[in-house]
Amino acid sequence: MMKRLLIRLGLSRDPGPRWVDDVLAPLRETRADADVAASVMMRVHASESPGIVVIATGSRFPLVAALIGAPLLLGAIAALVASGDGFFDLWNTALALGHVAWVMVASVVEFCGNILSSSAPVARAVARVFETIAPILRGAGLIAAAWGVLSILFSFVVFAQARRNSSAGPHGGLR
Amino acid sequence: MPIEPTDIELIREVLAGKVERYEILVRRYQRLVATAALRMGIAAHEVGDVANEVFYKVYRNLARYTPEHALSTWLYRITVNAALDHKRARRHESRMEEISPTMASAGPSAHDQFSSGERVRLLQEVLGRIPEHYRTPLVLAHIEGMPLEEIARVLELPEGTIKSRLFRARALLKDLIERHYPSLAPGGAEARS
Repeated sequence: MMKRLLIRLGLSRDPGPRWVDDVLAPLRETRADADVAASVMMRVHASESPGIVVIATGSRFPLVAALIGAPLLLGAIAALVASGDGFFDLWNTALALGHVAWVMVASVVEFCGNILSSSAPVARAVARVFETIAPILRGAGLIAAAWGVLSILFSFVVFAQARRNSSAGPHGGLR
Repeated sequence: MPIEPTDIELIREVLAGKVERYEILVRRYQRLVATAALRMGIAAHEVGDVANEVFYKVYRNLARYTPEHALSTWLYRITVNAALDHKRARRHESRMEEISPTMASAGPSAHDQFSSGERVRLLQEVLGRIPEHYRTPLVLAHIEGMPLEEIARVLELPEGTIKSRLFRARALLKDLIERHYPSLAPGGAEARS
């Protein structure tokens, strides 16, 4: 135990690099010869392939959706334009969509603003509370530290006394 | 005679998409990695698994390699980490046994009775009892024969820290050998008597 402590504190004697070199010499002669090239390359290729498949599958869905959706959309527009007031209907639809988008953006902005304005006073109040109780917390920390030191000293005295008063048996004891 | 491509050339080719060129790098360094793993205390039958893991990690991170230091330094770093991870994962299986009383009190003649395989096994056992952060620099310095600055690069620690860890590791090794394995000391137990 004492020796470990001395080593930890750097007070134990370093036997020197030569002594260690001599001791560990047999380990320097150990060699391992593992042929892992084939298994590594198999793993590398396996890791590459699924990635490519996933990317390909992922990009296929939007492509298929666009291929089906585009003719339908174009057909609907053509039908609207071909009927009498088709062009005006299309214009009105675009205006209505724009209005909906504008209302949505405005609602989101308003919502975020409300959250920020209601949370700011709370944050300020919390900061003020912390500022007020900071000296109390510091004092409590100091008292706890002092109490810890006192309890260590007390237990040290108690153990020293117990050690002095105990009798050592023939096979050893506390002494 | 065809000129062997350098490590940097091969890495550039692999990164450019010629994945099959990575096999040349693996073949070039597989012995170094396997031996380093063995010396880090990995069991001989598990060295292949660790080497496989090391080369796969290297491949996955090949783009992060900076050519300012040798590829072998980077490989050592990954091998050391892989070996430590592997040992942590297997800790419950390979918990060191208590030293048997017969070994602890091995007499002067025990030195002569050791076969080299037995010495290696005992040395691995001693190293296994040294805490990881002391053992790793010790292995790199005194078994792999690396200079201090390269160990610092491999372990990504300041040279001063490596120096103090080496000092403590050597003192611990000496303490362990003197107390539990006297026959492993240079000259065996005779030198002590």
